[in-house]
Amino acid sequence: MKRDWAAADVAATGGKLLKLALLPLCLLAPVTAVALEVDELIRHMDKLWRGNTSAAVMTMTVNTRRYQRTMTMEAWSRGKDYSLVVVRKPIKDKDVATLKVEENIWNYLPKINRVTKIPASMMSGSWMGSHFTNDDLVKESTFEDDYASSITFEGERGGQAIYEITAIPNPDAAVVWGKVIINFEQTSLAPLQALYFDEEGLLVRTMTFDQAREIDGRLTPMRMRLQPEDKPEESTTIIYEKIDFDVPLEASFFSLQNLKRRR
Amino acid sequence: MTSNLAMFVFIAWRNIWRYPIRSLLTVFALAGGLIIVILYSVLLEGMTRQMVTYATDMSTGHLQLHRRAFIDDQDLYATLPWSYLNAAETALPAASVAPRLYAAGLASAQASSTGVLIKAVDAAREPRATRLLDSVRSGTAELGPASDSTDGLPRANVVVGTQLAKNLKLQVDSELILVTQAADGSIGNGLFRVAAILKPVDTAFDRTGVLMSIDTYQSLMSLDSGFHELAVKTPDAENLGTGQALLQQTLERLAREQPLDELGGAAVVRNWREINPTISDMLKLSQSMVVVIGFIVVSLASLGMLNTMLMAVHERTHEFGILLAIGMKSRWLMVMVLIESFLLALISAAIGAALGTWLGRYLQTHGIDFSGTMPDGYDWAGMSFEPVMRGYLDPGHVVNACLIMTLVAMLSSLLPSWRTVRLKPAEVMR
Amino acid sequence: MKARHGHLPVTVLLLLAWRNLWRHRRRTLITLSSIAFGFGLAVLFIGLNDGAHNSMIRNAIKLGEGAITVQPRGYQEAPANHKYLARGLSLQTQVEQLHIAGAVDPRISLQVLASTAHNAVGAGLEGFITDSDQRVEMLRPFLIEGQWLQPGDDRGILIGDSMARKLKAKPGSKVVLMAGKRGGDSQVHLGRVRGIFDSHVDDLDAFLILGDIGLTRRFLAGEGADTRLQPITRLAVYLDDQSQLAYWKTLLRQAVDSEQVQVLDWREMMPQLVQFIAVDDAGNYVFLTLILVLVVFGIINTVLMSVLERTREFGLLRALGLGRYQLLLLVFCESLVLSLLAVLLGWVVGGGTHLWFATNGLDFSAAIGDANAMAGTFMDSVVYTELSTQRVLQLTGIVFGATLATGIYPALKAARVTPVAALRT
Repeated sequence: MKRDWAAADVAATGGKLLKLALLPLCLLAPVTAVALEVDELIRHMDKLWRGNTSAAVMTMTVNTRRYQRTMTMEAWSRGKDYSLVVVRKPIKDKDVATLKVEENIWNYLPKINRVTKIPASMMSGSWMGSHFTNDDLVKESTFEDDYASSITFEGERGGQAIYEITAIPNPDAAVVWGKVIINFEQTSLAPLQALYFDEEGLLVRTMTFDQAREIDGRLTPMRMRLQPEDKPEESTTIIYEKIDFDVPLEASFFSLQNLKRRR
Repeated sequence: MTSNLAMFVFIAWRNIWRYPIRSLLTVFALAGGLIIVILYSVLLEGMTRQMVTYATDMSTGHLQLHRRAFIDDQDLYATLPWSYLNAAETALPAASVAPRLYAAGLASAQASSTGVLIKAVDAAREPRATRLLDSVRSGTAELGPASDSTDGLPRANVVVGTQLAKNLKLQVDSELILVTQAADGSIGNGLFRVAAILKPVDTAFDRTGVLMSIDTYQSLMSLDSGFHELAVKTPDAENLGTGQALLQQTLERLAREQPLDELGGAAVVRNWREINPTISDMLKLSQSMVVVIGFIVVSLASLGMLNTMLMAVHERTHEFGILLAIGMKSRWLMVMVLIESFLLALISAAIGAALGTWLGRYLQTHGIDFSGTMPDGYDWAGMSFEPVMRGYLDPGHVVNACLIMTLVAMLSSLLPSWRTVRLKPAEVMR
Repeated sequence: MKARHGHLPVTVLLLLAWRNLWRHRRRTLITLSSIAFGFGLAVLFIGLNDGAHNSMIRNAIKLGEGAITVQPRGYQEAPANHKYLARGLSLQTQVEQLHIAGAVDPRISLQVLASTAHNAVGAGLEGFITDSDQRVEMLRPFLIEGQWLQPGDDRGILIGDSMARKLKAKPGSKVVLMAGKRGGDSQVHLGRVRGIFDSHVDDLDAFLILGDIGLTRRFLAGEGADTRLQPITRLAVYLDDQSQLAYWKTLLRQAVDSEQVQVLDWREMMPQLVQFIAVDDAGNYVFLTLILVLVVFGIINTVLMSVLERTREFGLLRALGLGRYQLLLLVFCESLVLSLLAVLLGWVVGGGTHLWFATNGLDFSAAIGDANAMAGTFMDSVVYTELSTQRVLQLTGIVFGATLATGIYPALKAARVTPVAALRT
């Protein structure tokens, strides 16, 4: 039996599950040479959950073949580069925190009172036991550089008027996907689905959005569900209980000191 | 005919002592060849056994029990219930069993961090099944709770491999942080104290292995449904088939009484050859080399014997001529020469076997020590060996060697004597 | 006595010895053939052994980092992505100015995490110049799918078949390469699979990613290196003549060794291989000793027996007035001539055996199958015997010495024969 498991391999097996941003904040405006409408759509989607700054309370439910896990978390974000998530429930994981600054991720572990940085070898590992990987958190920072997007369908599908945006990774972008397709409802511009394909055109995972509610004049989906295609019985669902935009948050809020202090 | 035979034996015996020096030389040559062949087999058998011992005693054991999904994907959840441990102990009362658990994790110490393989063992059972915990380089291999950290947090003891210690700059008493994904999806984390550093046993473990107690593992990983691996040391290493079959039957019975979940797959018993095909192939390779080298050694030894017997018979051409001239039948002469050779071979066998056994014993207990040039031992096929080459004396091999020697001695005396007796007495005597 | 008879000239002694040997033709032939046979076996055995080891070493050097490696000090003890030689170009120029008979290849080694949409694995990324590097001829034949890397293709990578299976990648697939930086940050670059190799060395097939040096240099640039200086992890120096290793190593040490730069030979780079060979050699020496003991045994026996049988003859010689000393010399000369003949015949047989197996080789593939990978290298399945000058001298010395030594006792014994005693029978 081969015992030579690099941590990465196992992390990868645990969360072989494919990458997507923790919050679907990854879909940012591609700046160049795209139709104005695409630009607008993506900017709109970006603003949906984040605004300039945001503070939210959310519940994450992870269903796997092996365990079911529900966590209540508080999350703060500032732009695309800063975010901080602190677990409130269950008691066992209370105060476990994740800080993301640009492409770096740290975890604060209250039990041992230590901050550990996620090394490159663990980037493909699961984040908090969910189907999101640590890398998904990081990738949102580089989305606009990595993809070229365009509207590829406009009209009725499945009884709904939709826009379909196809984001193709730039040839040299360090992205594993072959393409990403996002569907929006035409009138409210609320996102419906994000589909992630490999290079062969095989669907690898699906993210669905629903339970939209109007916040600050925008129809914002309050529930999102990530579904890996190779494990139909598994999923990760995030439900926003509360979300506030444009709360005052300085960059210094997202610091290692604060990570340890915010218990 | 019987009286004839007795007479021939008597004459042959007398003949041997008529030329004591020549006979002694022949015995010397035959016994010497025999000793060399015995020593050769002692060394090779020793090497093979040493390899098997290392492949089994150090950490693998003779048999191992896993779930199918653990073998294929190292599936964390593919555990066997603890009741299987007792069942295995009952099924094989003479064997020693050791349960183990594994997980991948990230170890950090001061500035650096690296991926590690966490291995949990039962400190009471493990030493009875393998020598894993014996090969300590520094510190003492204690597992279990350790002193608190400087900021008053609880810690547990771990034992690490040499190369890992080097990479993370760890010494005995250093602090180590382990972070991993626990079985319930939470971030498993804990503080640990390095209690000991192990000598290289297998290369992978040396580079990435962190050893802890099963209790520590269960609280780190939130996994108490069972164990991943059961290593079994059977008293009869040669005959693993029976133990393996017995264990398999027990498993089938248990699976009926208390079905396992489907995801982890069935429980599988494998012997060390199946677990470690590389080592098994290596052994096959070295066994085929044994045949080649063995052929060389035996043919050289035989050549020496042939040479000696040729000479001994050749020197006596004159004597045989006289015997033939005074009317001895050539058939009887041949019989006499053969009996002489047989007696000489018997004496040589007695001396050679005695000396060979004595020398073989010496090699078995003391071995040939290379620790001067290689204090750390050496690696082969992912296993680390002690720098001592030890022999193993198999009485069966001694008997075989004696038989070969006697056969060769008689054949090689047949050749020249047959040639001699076909000559006319007058020619021979000239 | 000496005064009365004077000295026998050496030529006469040798002639006498020669004739004596052929008076007992059968005995001499038996002795000679047994020595020659044993010697032939010993030569074959040693030759095969050396051949197998040398093939392992050659393969290890070719697959590895050259006969001599120039790399950052401390890299060997604890490899890390941030340990590199910033001024690769000037270092290479410096090394090339030594005009080493061989090749100098710049390389970059990195620990990375390779991921696709389906999986992620830890891997070693090796950057090299894809058309001139010594590894090319070694690895190119193993390519089973796709194309070899084009020079300057700084996206292309080659992966092993078992890694390809795990990542579900094929030629054309994207592989995201992520590497840790100093201080724990990470950086990513995209690689594209151009081809898949199967080297039959499990570790390589599951762990190795080959890429153009330009691809790997991006990672060093991410560590803060100035790409204009062409940073590298190491220079692998290959020698046309391995026996010049010590000479070039000293020269290289003088030229580039410093607090940052270290010069290591393959023995220092691959201590495990050295150990493996040392152990294997030790084991083989034990067996070789057994073989030689057997050969010597055969000789002693024949010579001793022949002397014993010749008591009468020696007595006669003594009675005819040959001095003790001369008789001793005569018998010793016989041994000498016999030894010379033995060595000569031994080399005819042994050398012939060696020549045959050195050209035709001995095919072990049936016996070893896929188990030929060990200690990080592999043994060619067809082994050609190899014989160094050192070995030739060693073997000649042993057999000549042993044969000659066995002549001493019979000579002494012959010298002790009194004329009367010998003629009594």
